[in-house]
Amino acid sequence: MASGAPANDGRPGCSKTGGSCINEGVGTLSEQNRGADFTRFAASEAGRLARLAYTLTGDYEAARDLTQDALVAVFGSWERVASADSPVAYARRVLINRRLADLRRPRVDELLTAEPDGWVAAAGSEDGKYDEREAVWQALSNITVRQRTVLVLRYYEDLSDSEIADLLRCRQSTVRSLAARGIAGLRSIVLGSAAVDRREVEPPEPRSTKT
Amino acid sequence: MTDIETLLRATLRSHADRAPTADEVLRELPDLGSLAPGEPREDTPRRSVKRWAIPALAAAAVAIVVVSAAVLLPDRNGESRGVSNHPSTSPLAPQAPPGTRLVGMGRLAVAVPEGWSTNDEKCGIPLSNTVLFEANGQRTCLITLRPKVSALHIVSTTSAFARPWMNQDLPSSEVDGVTIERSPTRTGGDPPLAHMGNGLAVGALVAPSEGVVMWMTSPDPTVVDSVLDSVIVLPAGWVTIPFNPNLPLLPNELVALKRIGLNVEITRRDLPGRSAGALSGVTPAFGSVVPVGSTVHLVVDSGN
Repeated sequence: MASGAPANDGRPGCSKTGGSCINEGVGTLSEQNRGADFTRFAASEAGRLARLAYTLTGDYEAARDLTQDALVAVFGSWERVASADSPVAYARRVLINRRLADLRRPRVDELLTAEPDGWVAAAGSEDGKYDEREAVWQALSNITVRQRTVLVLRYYEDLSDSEIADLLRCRQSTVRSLAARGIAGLRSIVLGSAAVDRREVEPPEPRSTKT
Repeated sequence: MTDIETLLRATLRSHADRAPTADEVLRELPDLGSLAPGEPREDTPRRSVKRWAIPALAAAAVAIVVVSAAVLLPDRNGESRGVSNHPSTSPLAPQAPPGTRLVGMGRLAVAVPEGWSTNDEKCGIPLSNTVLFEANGQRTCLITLRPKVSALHIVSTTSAFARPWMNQDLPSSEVDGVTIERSPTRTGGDPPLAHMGNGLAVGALVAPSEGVVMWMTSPDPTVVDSVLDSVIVLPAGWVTIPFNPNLPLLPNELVALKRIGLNVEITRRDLPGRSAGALSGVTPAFGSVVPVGSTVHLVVDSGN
């Protein structure tokens, strides 16, 4: 589990988020208290969900939309979420499912008319040297979404293959396969980019004058 | 762990810092409940999200209790509930002729008989006298046009359904500074309205600058004319409720409602066989003309 995950205090169906027990007294608290629970949950976890969304999408706007989408869905099922062992895990599952479900929906192309908020220029570092992390980040957009999802869950969320398989509702062997192919894709792209970059940055070796 | 795996882990951790912050996410979350009186609205300078957006979310849960007892299917409760919260006492309030109600898109509205439903259709074919928004007429169904039914179709100029009207050279006039093209009422089934079929009278109006196309089909040509000729441009402070069947699923669309000055209340309801997040009802109905500041009640299936 990634850092920042809510600690379970051991009581069934009770997770601590933001210092309070999310579902304490579910069934006895008023709707108002449940709303307050959701409020605390959203305040506590929105940032973390947004970071996960950003690593999944690689796009600022899409990450914000995805996070909002997931929170609205969580709110719609809050009673069920609050009674789950880990509301955070539930929200993460919702977010990932929506990310994958987006792929099945018809795409709507957006025409950018202005620089989006939070836009960060890609490309290399300021001194023009090859930026390996930037290359990996760019390469992530060139592997499949399922491969990227598996890699993010494994290397960012630090989930085990069995946890990822449970999240994606697939076999562990499928997770391993997606991860292996994703890593292979990244390696191929990054190493290729590095080779190209070196050719651009480094002057060519002087040709031998020997005959 | 290989070098690329180490590099990937470092990349994900460093780039995650570029993600939207919690405040940015929550700031634009739909105002699921009514904001408390005095709380800032969209057009006022934003304070820290934690001081108003989050309490608004809490208010949403309260609204569930309050509204669930009051909001059922919109057809059963009439379509004026949202308006009734804001009596039209403004001298600028758009007036619908007696026995009619105003419906439209954007700033344009026309008067239709009060009893007309909204989106009562199957496969894009109106089943009763109704107002249709972006009806899905592309599906193939074993259903034929009902000859005794009138329908007002309202679509955006970017819709494929608008094309037959966009390609015509229609006479235009000006209504409150807005140029509106008006197709003469003709009988469908004849060129160029062959696709309308069934001998119904057909007429349309197009407002390119507003991005709106409305067309009417009716067995009675006078109904077509009376509806289309009633077109008005809404005065400042009045808006139409934008049509979007996916509203609860699209936070940005909910935000869009708020941006035009509407508040949103969501009520959850359990109906077997309905997927979570599906929209069951909207009150007032899509297209209704309401004053800015009105509350739109959405009934959403919880999927339990």
